[in-house]
Amino acid sequence: MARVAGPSTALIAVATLAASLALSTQPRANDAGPMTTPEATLVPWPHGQPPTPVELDEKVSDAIALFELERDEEFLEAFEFGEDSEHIYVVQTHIDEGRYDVARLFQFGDSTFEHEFRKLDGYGQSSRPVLMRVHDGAYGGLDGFSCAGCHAQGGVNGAGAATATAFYFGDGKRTSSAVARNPPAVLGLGFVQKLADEMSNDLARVRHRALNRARAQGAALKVQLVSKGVEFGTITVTPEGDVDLSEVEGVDSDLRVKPFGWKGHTATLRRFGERAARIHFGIQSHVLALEHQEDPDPGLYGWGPNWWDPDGDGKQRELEEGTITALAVYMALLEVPVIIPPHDAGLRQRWARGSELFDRIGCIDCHRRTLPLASATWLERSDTTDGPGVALNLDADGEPPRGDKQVALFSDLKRHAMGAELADSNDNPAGIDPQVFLTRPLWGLAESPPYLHDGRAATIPEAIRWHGGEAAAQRSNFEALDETQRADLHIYLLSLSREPKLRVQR
Amino acid sequence: MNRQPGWLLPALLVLLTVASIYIRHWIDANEQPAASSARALGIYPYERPDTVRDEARQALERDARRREQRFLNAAKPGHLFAATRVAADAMASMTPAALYEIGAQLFNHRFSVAEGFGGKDQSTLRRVHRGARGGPDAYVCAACHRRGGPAGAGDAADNAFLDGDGDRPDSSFERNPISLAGAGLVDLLAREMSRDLAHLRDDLVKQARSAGEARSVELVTKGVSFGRLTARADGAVDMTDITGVDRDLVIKPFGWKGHQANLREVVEDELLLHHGMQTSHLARTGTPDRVGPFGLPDPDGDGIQDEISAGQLDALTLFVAMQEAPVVGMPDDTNLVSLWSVGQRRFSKLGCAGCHVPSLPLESTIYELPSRNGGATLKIDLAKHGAEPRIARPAEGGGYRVYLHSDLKRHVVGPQLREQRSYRGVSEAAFLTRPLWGIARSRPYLHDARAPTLDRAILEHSGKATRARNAYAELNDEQRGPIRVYLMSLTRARRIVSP
Repeated sequence: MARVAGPSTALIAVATLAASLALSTQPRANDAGPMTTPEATLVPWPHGQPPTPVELDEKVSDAIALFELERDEEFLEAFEFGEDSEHIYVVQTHIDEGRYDVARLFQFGDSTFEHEFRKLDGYGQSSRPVLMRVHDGAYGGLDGFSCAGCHAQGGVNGAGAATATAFYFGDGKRTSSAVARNPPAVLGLGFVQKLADEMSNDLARVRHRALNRARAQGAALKVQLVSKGVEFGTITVTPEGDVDLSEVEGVDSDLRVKPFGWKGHTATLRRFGERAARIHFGIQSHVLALEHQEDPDPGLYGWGPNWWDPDGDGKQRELEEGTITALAVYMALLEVPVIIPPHDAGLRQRWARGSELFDRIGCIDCHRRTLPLASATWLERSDTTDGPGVALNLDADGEPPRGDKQVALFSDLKRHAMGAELADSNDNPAGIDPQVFLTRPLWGLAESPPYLHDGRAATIPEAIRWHGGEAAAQRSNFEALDETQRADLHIYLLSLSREPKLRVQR
Repeated sequence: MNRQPGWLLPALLVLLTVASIYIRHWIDANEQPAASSARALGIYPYERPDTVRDEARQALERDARRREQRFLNAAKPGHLFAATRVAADAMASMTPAALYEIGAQLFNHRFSVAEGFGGKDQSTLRRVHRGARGGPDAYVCAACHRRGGPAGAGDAADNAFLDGDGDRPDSSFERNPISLAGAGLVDLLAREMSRDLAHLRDDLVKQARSAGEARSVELVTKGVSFGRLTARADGAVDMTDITGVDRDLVIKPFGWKGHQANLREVVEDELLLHHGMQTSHLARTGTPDRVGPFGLPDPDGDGIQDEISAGQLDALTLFVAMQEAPVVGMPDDTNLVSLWSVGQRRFSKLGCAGCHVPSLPLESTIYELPSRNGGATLKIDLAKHGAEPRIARPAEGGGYRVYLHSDLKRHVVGPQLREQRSYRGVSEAAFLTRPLWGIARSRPYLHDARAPTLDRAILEHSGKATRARNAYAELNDEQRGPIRVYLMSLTRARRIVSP
């Protein structure tokens, strides 16, 4: 055994003490480990390493090329008023003819998302004030000029700030008459739409098989509605083909999983984009006009004398069906949020503990970490033509970072009752209970404050504390944690973020 | 030789380690919060790198720091806010860069209930303000001031609904967030103009008194006329013929109505109205309808006092004052450049430049922020230490000029833009000539964001601007184009950011 002389022992001991004290004067993250380098010099690169000069040049030249293109277009538009509107004019038959590839449609969609709608495009309705913050029933208001204007926090296609909260289904006058809705981020939605579609198919299959079995057996049958491990209650079917839906949970009686909107009321990106243009800009697609022709609904579309111009502003076909398709393609292919843990080793340990707590206190009961995706492809079909549809492949066509077959969205895509405190103060036309909301996907959470449907929570812990109803137990579990554990969970949730990207601020 | 047992060293080390951890905790527990922890975190750098690659690298670095500091803030709640809690008396010894960065941190800070956001009697968010008390309607300054660069303009969706009934937008004054770029220079111009007008008045009174008869003078400063002032023999001043400025002859260049002169008071008021964050000064001096009914020391009753320290207010004020100057960015295309020249001339010829005066001369670029409590005045030379790009002397010599495209005067531009009632003493249809610099990065336009395009914005003018507006309206689109091309060149320096 090695022996050490007295003086050396003392020296080592003193050195140890000195080192510990020296560490203690550094800025420290937490008890698990000190930060050993001053903040000013160390860059806590999200992926451990700084970008190489080549990567940097690539990233920045893309950003600048895009900016310069947009700057040129700005001048062109200034010179020739209306030039911009050509960038959002896409005719569905041209898509059907195969004139545009997916990349080009994505560009059209991008232009549409950025486009500032104006009178020339059919913005608004002649009889209304220029901007109308509180919506007039389902007809909508006029509260923005572009998609990008609100979806702006935490990067392009992001969530909306508190001020961007919209006031839906009101009396056109009072904010208190309306349903307040903070804009969520527009990311990873292709995966969300496809997951929901597969779930709807699963549920339809369950019902179909149950009906067949009931008929074959000649007896009523009660079956569980399950898809991707998420339970949607039960249905009871009779040999006569009757379906009792009274015990269905978290999905409409059509058993269609609708993943868009805070209430989970819209199933597809097509309809979501079309509706947003209608209620925020008064831009009406000719698909809607055709519906209005068959089944007139002036309360929804307007009182114009001609069906082809429901809002009576003298402009018809305000949004081409091809533009809706481009917008749907664009939204489907946008980047997917990612998890970026802390850089500091001590913080990373706390992050890992936070991750365990997320499971342990039951957050995952609704905020499922992943849902499995069977197929990442589909045909984006038009509504009014019989074209072949646009073949989309999220694995190949999507903007990076792309998702994978385990979609890490942190939601079960099911509706839950969230308690009286969180409830809307007003009803909605879809007839969904004021307390009921879709489990909000948490991916990208860190970049999308403020939180909850009306933006009432500035921070994640505040948001957790607003949970009630079906999540009351989880909220209590959270409150029963000690301060360090709550912070650990908070650290974990802040890692649900977006890949760093460069852009020119516009 | 004195032999030691083999366990002694490990035992000693363990003991010392335990002791050092204890001491470390003790140091932590006794760490002074507040002023001493204020520091720049490197998230909002003041320097602007020369090369695109360096700028890109810096953008990614600051994003990396932003993320890590956000984690730290979760580990140690209040950490980010404490980092902005600078002591007012420490500021005189800080560099302009450090002051700017701390102000920037505050400008980007998300105020929480724990820090004093809102008040006991206020709902979490209130979109339409209730009287002078405000919302709160936002958590972060930068969430609305976001377009085209730091402290930029806001979207239509970000419109504030000021001084309303707390519910109905049409009871309020709808206001689109203004870009704060160049705010310090505007402040300096206004101060020099106010000083000039006060001199003119004082001299006039003196002259009238000594002459024993009425005298009058045209109120002109920096080439802008504010009407005529008459002083009687007894020194009384007749204000009936002044125009575009209040009777105190103080130019108030802030707010759409041109109703606020003091940048620090603007910042203090915005913190109150939008976030419910109150300074002690405001808590002491504000009336209950402004600050809340609960009395001193916590008028908004949320259990937090001194929500914004004097130092924080000053840092935020300096951050705004030090904002970059907007720039002129010409089109690349040669054809468009020649159209630009045509547009510049036409802008003057139609009469736009009558109020949107392209530039005003500036004597001094030293921004001064006097202490409220008898401390040293903070001085920043915006030509040396303002954020880049900053004001510079013209290459051809001569004094500084500020290319703001405004006369900093109020004009009646109704009836189209007229509002239902006067706002803070400014009549219904009167607005300050909005500076047009940076206009390419401040869509949508006009006080309530009603105009998504320059074309619409110009056509909404009336009142005093009717002639220029009609002259524009009579042009066909091909003739209008160059004017819009010219306006589109009034922009901000390109800035690479993440996210």
